[in-house]
Amino acid sequence: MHDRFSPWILCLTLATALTAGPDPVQLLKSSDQARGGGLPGLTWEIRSHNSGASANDDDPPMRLLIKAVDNASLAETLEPLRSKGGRMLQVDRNMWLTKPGLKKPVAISPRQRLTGQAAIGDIAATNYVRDYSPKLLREETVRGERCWVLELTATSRQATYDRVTYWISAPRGTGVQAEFLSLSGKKLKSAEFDYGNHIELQGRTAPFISRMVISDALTDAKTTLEYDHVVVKAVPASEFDVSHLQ
Amino acid sequence: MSIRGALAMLCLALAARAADPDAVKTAGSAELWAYGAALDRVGPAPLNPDNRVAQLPSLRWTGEARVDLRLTTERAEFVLRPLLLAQHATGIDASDTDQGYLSQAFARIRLEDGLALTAGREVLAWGPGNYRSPSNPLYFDAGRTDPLREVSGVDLVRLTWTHGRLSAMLAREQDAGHLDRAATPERVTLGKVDLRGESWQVSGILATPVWGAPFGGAYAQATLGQAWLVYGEIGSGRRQQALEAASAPFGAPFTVLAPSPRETTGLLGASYTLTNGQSVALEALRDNHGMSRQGEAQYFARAAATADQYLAAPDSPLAPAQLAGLGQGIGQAPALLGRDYASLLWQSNPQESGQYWRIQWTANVRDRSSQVTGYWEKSLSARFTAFGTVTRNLGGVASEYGSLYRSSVTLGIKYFAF
Repeated sequence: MHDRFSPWILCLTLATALTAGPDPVQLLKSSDQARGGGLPGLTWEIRSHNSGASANDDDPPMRLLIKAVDNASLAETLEPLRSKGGRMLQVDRNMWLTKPGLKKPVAISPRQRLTGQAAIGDIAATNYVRDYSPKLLREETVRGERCWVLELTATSRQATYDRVTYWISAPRGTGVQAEFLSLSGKKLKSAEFDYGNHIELQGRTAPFISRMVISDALTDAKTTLEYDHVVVKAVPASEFDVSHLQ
Repeated sequence: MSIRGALAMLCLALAARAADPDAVKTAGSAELWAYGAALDRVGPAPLNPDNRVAQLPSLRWTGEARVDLRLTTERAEFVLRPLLLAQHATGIDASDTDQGYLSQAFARIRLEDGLALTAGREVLAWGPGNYRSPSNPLYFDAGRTDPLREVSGVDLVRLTWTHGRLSAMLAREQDAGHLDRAATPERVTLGKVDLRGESWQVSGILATPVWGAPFGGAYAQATLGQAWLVYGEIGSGRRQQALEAASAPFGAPFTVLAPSPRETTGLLGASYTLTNGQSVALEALRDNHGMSRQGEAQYFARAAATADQYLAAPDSPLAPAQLAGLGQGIGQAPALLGRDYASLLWQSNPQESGQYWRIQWTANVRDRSSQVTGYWEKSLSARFTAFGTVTRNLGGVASEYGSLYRSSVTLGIKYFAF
């Protein structure tokens, strides 16, 4: 009897494994890497552009130099001229801002936006696998590409959002789009990601984020971030020391 | 910092660039400011009869050039911030002032991953307080008398160490540089230790004698949720002098105790960031270096009596001494006249480059005088912004904010050269 049923048990196990889909934690880890997570350190430049009816014509595109490690990031404004030299530092959930002419770095809260719809948590090295508990929801096709849909629930206070619905490309293992939600499930923002950059990692070439478009859920306000000059390298701890921010 | 020191830094920086030009990055910015400030003086003013003591100009024109030059390598950073200032004042104190100096000029070398050495002129400011910094013996109120003026650094050597959640700093101040305060007679050595959690930081500060007594200070800040920040600062030490009304009815109106006795100053604050990026901060400050309510009343009563004596006989041989006495009353008064203050700051998102504004209300709770200041800056083009400040003082002539001027207006323009 045992022999008669064992092939069925094997098939059932395989079917369960196939229908259960991939390990959501591994999926998340892989997608994080393409957005800077789990790397020894990164520097890159971002060009940001705000659009929509609420966008201020006086707010020109910004160019930012970002240095990031797992739990810290430093954003320095390179353009426009009138904002040049401004710096925003984030270490865990502690944040400071300084601008030329300010007496000292000013402590700010995580809600403070870096530019347009983007908080510093949006542009820093993404570490969703550390900050969220993932649950595989379903499989879905987005822009003609098969994606796994994950529900992320914040487990760390470092998380920028309480909940995230995240679409990860099945063939590429990179995040394709995301919806950022409040604790009650209210949609706050959404984002789409492109991966035109590449980084060298342990002897192989890996895709890296090149464009992120963040849209406000209630208005037509959009912020487009374009990533360039991406370099993977360790950033010294002293770069994230607030006493060196001025 | 001497010109020789700055040149030595420049040579070091150029040598670094010559050694490995590819590894050296240069950056810089230059801003030209031009602005005029008009003042509406109070009269009669007990501390400033006929404007003969403070000699406040009714109109002052200022031109400033602020340059920031930065050269960085993998292990070092060189910063030069020269400042050129030209002022022309009209009125009783009609005068021209021209000066140029290095606001900051330092070299920072990374010795190891978390270890860095800084030498030169640098602003050594810290703490979360907006209104004042009680935990800092060098920068308690620097720059607050004129918010548009650049705050200059002090000449120092400092070693900083960062490892995980702990960081520490040891600094030796050599000179006060162009800081807007009297230099301490001592060369101050400061130690600071910071412990940082996921969403909080606490710091402790100890300094070798400042004005004859060791200084101790601390601050803490915590982020609550996404929008709240709560914080506090405290410091205990001496200041350059304490001032009080003289007990004798004749002679000098005030007596000065230098240095002041040891006192404690503390600040508590909270800020909230709105979803649109605007933020509101409320702070309360207790400064025991200030005068009691009774002491402040005696201070103004004595000033009024002296001013009356002067105005009754402005050509009397006693007049110069009377004016000097009142000058002492203004110049050597505590940084804050009273002991209890409240401050409310509401500002737009400072990251928006098109427009920035802030409104600050500050009150001396004891004498019930207050000051409302508004600042506004708007972009005119890629290289030009216009800015303006309006200050309105509320309170009688025998109160801190009402004693010298009722209101002031500043209008100006900034040009961003590179």
